[in-house]
Amino acid sequence: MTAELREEVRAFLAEELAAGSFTPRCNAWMDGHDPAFSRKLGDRGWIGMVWPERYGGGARSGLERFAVTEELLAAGAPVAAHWFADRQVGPQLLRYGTESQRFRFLPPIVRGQCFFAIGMSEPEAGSDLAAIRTSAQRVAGGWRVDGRKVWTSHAETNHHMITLCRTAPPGGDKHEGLSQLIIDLDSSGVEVMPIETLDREAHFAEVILTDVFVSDERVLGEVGAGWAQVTSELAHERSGPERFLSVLPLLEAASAAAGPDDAEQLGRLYARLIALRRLSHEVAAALEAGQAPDVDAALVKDLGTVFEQDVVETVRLLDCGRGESEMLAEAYLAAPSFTLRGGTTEVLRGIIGRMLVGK
Amino acid sequence: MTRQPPVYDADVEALLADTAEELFERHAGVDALRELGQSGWSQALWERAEEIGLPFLEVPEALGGAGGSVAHVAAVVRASGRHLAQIPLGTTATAAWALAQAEMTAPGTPIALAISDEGTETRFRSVPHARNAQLLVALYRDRLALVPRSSLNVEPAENIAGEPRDHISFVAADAEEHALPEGVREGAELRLALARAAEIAGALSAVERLSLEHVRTRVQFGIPIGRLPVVRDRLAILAEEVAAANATVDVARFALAVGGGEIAVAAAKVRTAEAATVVARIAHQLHGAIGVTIEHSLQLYTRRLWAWRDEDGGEQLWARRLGQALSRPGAWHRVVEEAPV
Repeated sequence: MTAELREEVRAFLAEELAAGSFTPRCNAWMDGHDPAFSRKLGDRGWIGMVWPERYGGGARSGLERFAVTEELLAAGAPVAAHWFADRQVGPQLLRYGTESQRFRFLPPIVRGQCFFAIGMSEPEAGSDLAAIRTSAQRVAGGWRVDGRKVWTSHAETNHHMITLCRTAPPGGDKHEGLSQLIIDLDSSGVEVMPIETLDREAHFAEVILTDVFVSDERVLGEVGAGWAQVTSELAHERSGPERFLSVLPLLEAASAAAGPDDAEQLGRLYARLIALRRLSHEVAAALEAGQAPDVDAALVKDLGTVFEQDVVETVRLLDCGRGESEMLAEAYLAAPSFTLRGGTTEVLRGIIGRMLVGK
Repeated sequence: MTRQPPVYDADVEALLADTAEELFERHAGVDALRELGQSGWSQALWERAEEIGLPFLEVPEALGGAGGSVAHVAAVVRASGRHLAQIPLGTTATAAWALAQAEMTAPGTPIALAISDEGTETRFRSVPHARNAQLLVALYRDRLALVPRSSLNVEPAENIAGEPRDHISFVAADAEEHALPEGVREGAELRLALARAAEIAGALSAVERLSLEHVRTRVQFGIPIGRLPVVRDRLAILAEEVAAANATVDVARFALAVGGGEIAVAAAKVRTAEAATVVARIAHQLHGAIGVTIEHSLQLYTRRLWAWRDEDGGEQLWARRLGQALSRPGAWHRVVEEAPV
């Protein structure tokens, strides 16, 4: 059962911590990029846990993956390098990829040796993702890609980018004519420029694509079906424990130092945490059962990310937060992104409201 | 405690949920409550609930109960909250459980329950449904006292929803005292808090339904107001609160069913109370002036939500208890172990 698995992960983390291989930090699934640590997780079988064994996966359940990711996030372990490959890219390859793409990418992802970035947003396409302009033109044997992607985390260090681009002009429906291409970030014509964020971190990058050749073998899924493919993975992207555990190391540290005067505020936070764990776990179970719990996932993300921001604000004002000034500052400066990345609060509430009332 | 933990059975719960739903649809709800008028007491509803055995779900079969789990009780109480079923299900079920722990059989009547962590008490304030009960079970530090209705002095009082919350007193000599096994008083306290949280969660779902119906049909500026983005934003928050509240009740009812449960129950009482505040505020805002009239059914739910937030321990009390339990290293591990999802 998952209790044993959690113990395994905790024992591993305790060893690594004792060996000084990582320092717990907030927002570690975004800022904690450590290829060596990812390889260790790969050795343990904790990347691609749910994927079929023939691709190197662990053939375990989504609920076991839930347990492992929770423990890694709660400990503030550096999991950013493989995060997107494990969370989104693998499931997309399994659902839409060709057999040769799966054999090409999944085994090295599982080993913690192949890292992906996600190329979706553009300067003129944030929440309105279908407004992207990056285009792919048909050429012999593949496509020529031109355009700019922004907010692409870890594009400087990671190996490939799943790139949403326009392969046909928008007709009556702007969601048509979009496709996903797997671009090798070492390809000629790819220029990566780091974007420094207000917390002085540089996981963000702008990726400029100039006449980049992408072979037909690197088209993910169907040409023109990019929108459906991207949106089908949103529940995975929005409902996981990273949407409410980004600042758990701060909450844990504050709790360890808490006195009687801090108890009520901490108690209120933990009540919200317990609700979120249940809701997120319910979505994981629904995904496991083959359902598409898109609205429930949106709900988890909205509740979870606002909770994360409230943890930071609450701890800031509590006596038990005073000893944690470094971690608090780290969390504080990362916090504005919580309610933006992966769908803004406003977009999410729009989705939930539309589902509730109907069109 | 020497007893085996009662078994939770999902099939039993599904059957139970259907039965309870049918019962409450027939004998409870807005119309039934209005017909009952001032007294608010439906003998028919109570008798049917008793026939089905709802108050004795967590009593072992050997003592005349269903041998079920507290998770079943909470599921039924949640349904009762959704349907405004004004009977003392949670208190009677908890009292019957406490009696069973002391190897006693509960009578087939409504039971009033009072808990004190002080020594012997002979006065209690705001006891739910004391006027409708045939028996008072009072739990002191290590004692269980039985006081028959005939020996109770009942001063009628109500909460802000108009539900009976009577002040009672009795003469110590009229109380039949028994030893209370260890942990039963704490267990009863947790059961009452869970039942109240479940009741709140049920009422929250009902308010969500009412609010959705309203925004789909209420036309302003030429369109149903549910089409306005700002209204949808409010609705999304409302739905999120209802989901979160119900989620904590589910965590708590299973955690308590397998023992322990303090952290999970505290979380449920805090989270449902917080949700009650937010949801009642949004629902009234969406309903406009019509929602604050006595004719509109919204107030039947929101007045209860406001009252129930504070009953069986308000959210400050439970939040403090929860925070204190987790004010130490290893809080995360404790949350994972003691409030399993």
